[in-house]
Amino acid sequence: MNPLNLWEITPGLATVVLGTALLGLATGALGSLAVLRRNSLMGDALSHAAYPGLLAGFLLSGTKSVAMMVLGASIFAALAQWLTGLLIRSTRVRPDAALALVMGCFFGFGMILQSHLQQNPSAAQAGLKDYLFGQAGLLLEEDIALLAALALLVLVALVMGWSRWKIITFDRAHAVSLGINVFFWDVLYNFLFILSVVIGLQVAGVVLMSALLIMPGCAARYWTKRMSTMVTLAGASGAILGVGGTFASDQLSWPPGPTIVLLGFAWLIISFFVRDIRKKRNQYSGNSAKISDALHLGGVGAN
Amino acid sequence: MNNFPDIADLQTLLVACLGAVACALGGAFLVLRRLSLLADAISHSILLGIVLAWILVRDLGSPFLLLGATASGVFAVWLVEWFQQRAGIKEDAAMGLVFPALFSAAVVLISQLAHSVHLDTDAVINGRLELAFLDPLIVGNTPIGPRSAWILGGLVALQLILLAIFFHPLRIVWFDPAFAASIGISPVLFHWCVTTTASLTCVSAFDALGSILVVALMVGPASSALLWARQLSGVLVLSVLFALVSATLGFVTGAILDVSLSGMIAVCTGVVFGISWFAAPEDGLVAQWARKRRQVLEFRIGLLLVHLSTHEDGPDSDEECRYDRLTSHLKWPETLVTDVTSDALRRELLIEEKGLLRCTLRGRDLAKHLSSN
Repeated sequence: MNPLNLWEITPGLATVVLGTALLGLATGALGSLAVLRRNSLMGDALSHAAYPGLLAGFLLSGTKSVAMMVLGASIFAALAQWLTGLLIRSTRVRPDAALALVMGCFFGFGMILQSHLQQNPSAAQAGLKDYLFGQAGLLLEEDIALLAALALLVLVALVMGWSRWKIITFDRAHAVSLGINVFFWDVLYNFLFILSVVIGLQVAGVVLMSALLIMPGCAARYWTKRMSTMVTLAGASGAILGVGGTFASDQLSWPPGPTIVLLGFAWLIISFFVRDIRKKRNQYSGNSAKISDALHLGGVGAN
Repeated sequence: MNNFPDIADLQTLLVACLGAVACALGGAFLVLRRLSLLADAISHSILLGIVLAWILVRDLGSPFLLLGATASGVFAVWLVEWFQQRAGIKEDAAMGLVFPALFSAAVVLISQLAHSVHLDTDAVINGRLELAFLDPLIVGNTPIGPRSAWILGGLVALQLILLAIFFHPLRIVWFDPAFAASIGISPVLFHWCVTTTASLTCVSAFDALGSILVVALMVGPASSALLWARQLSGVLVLSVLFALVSATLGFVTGAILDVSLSGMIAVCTGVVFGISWFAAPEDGLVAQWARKRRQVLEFRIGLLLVHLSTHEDGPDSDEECRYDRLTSHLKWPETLVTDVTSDALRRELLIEEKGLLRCTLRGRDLAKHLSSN
């Protein structure tokens, strides 16, 4: 018996599976950079900040045009990121407060737009609330093209600039001293980040977007100390979580976004306990293991 | 919108103001401890507690729901700490992992119970400030104002009592945890007291205000206050004041434009912060600009004094110290020479004699001091 028959893969489900896999791949790989750079919560702040942009795009175009909404969301997310950076640089406001403040105010503006839109009901408006919690189930074939382009862009950017990403992530000052154009790579990173958040909003929604970015990276960090392995593993597990979560949500009729996040959380906990067990075993297995472990630790930055 | 401030409007405003004060008091300590994003994490996590408590008691009006919500907020904080300390995950990532997971669990549970419970996840984010007055607290048979107003009022009272009792130890713990520990005040205990209070605040306020406005009100007024004040008491008083201003301003503009009140209040906390950023003493943009200008002027006066004191007793003093020749010697435009000399003359660092500028005693001392450095 063909096990696939159990799942009853309809073309609609296949589209959703492909879409979440592509998104998981892109956000997992890019998000592990965010984890290493310690700005994991930027994803959360940007997804909240992009919400009014989505609605403004809708308001201006009058229809649910993906291009206008993505454009609007990108502009708002970029504005929020610039404002957060400016606040941190030029005032005594701490990074955490700056993020929370910008996020709250931008999303508040989104709520204003949303309430305004609700007063002029039009047919297309019905789907707008889906951006709060995401509706992976509504993915269409043209969305797949967009997601595939995003995944490709992220992978190409990561592979082409690999050595530079690595140096900038671990030792910024060293990167500057080598004459690397850090500004360019930061702009590229922020651009890709905003693009992933904005496109991912449709699938995961405002609240759960950040989990999609950082869960695969955090879990991958438990399995390896090499950045290349970590990013690869995060991208792959992001894609697998997307596929698995979509199937699970289809079988259990759970909402897809939260299912993917819960599956990711389970994967994170499993990864933690596997590392914990391996670490304990290493502690009991004599000095030679300890020495090799120490040597390995010394070589973290040099891979 | 006929006869605008009617009794329902005033009740809504009261709820908004009490919620704003409660959030500002609870949030100020989070901001000071650099835990602002914990407000975000807690306000998303409490939904799970509400759903779980509902499954146990099956009654949406039960106080156990609030208890469950508070407990899950504290649980979220504990989980964040556990990830940080035991699982080697950085603080930012730990928060980013915990609250989506708890929130997802809640959304999944709600979706499974959808036929038997009316819990609107959308309302958790957006709040229902506009409808707060429809749910009055009934004592005997008489409604005595919105239920949320009583809950939030009680919370504000509780916070003020706690603050009055623990103000001194809190101040020590918040600015120097190591010193606090050395004199026998446990920073860990106070950390949990403050996060529990924050959780309680989120729980009491989110129903009316929505989780995002809770975050904005916890972080916004306190961040603005920190730009104006340096003392804990000043920060707290200003936070409350700014929260009240934001709530009132947001309520009035929101009501006039007929849009989401929660959203408008959140934007107004941003506006208040923007004004503070512009106008605050020392840290404000205007103050920074004025300081920079003053420093440039000081530097130029110093340069002029050094130039004059070097040349005034020499053979070329008639040429070098002539007021109308300074433009070519210092390579300054004429307006700049006028500005700098007039300021120096006013401060009696220079005197003018027959078109020649001479340093006063004070001016010469200053020049000597500057050139010896």
